[in-house]
Amino acid sequence: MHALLLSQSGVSFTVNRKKEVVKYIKICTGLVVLGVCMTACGQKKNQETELTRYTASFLNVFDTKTDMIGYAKNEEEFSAQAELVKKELTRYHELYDIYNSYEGAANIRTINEQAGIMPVKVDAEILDLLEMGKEMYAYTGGQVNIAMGSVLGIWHEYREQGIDDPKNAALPSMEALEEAASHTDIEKVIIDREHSTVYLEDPEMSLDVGGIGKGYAVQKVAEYAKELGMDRLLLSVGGNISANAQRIDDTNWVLGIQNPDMDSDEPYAERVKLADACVVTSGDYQRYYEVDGVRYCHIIDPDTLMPASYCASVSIITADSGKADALSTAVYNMPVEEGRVYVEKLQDVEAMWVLSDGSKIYTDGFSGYLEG
Amino acid sequence: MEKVMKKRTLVFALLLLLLSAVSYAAVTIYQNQTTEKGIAVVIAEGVEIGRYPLNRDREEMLKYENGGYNILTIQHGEAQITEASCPDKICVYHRPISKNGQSIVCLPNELIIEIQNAPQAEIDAVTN
Repeated sequence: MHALLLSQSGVSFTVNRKKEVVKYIKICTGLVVLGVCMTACGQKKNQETELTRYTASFLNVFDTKTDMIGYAKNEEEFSAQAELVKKELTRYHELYDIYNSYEGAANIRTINEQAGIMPVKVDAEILDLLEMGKEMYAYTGGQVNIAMGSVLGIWHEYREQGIDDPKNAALPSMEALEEAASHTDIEKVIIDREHSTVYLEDPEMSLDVGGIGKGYAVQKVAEYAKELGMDRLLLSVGGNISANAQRIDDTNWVLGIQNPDMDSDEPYAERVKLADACVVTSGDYQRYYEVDGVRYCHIIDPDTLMPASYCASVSIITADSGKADALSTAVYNMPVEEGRVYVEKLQDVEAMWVLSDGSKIYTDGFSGYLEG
Repeated sequence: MEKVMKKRTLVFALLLLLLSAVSYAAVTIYQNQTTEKGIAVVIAEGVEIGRYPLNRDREEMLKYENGGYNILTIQHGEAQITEASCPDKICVYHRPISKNGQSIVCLPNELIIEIQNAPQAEIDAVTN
């Protein structure tokens, strides 16, 4: 109708008709503007900054799922950022891997293979991690030990077999564990900064950075993401969470602490609100196997050489993800009251325990992170 | 001539108004439909292999080249894995999901089930 009308006007345009056409155009413009307003209102965009919330997930890094929540102008921008974050996490994953080798760079596995043979030249990321591992060993009174690979390797093997073939699940012998434990002296991990090498003096020893590597990588990658401009970012690598700043509306990120009782209707043991902080949880409910109805988790107490069982889970909140990861492993290996006294003495570290009967214990400052 | 034009103007304006009202209603209804019900998105080995609306009950067998499988069940507006070939069964023990930001993972089968177009979950992430 509209098109027809305009074509009718042709060359012999009268004044009146011109006015009519102008009127039509005015109405049309009005309606178009109205329509644009309506659709704009329908979209959940942040008008203030014109940034939209996006999420990305991927597997294959640190043998778990990675989730990213961030804000970007559009999907392309976010995808590009997520790709860079994934690439950086993958780089750390390969460097800290103890099971696989990768072309082009020596990793922790290479160091283990050369134990008692020769020093291995490695990237600064490995030197930094191992130095941090030594620091955390001293900091936790030996409750997290990166030189415990020989003991953890035995448990790893029995656990994998037990999961694959539950009927024949078995426990390693204490003799084997004790023999392995005689090759866990962290002083024999020789770090040479000048030559960028690492050497394991004891040929029977090996490194396992499972208790700190993921957390350390999350910390470094969260810092890297900030440099990329991802000021507001929630990065979770298998529940090892780092929060850059807050959500776009300046409210804190809300995180659920998994309820260790997987049969419960309540998915979360607690909800915490974080800004510029990290939370890491160690628990017995995800990576474990059962022998004669008893659950054996993947965290091994250096004192008993057996899986720790003082609590169902412990969550640590502090500014640095690497520290949070190391502390959650260490505190999981301590009797709860001893752990509580230990954490209370640390500055800017809070913890929450969930016991096997479901009851919860908090450090004094933890309530500052609770909702409400 | 002028009268005819005025009448035309009126008819044209009304018609446009009607058209915009109808399209606005359609967009609103469509948005409500997709945002309230949600979709379970299935990603295997990093590739999206299916999208299933949560408002239709179904059981989907997800088979992989290596012989592994997961069974995705959608019931009462929630998605869950009810059976799987993996040894640890972590995906099967996972609670049903229905909100944006929630997901179920099966690491051995490299499978992710995630929810899209649903209301946002009250929490941003889970530490476990």
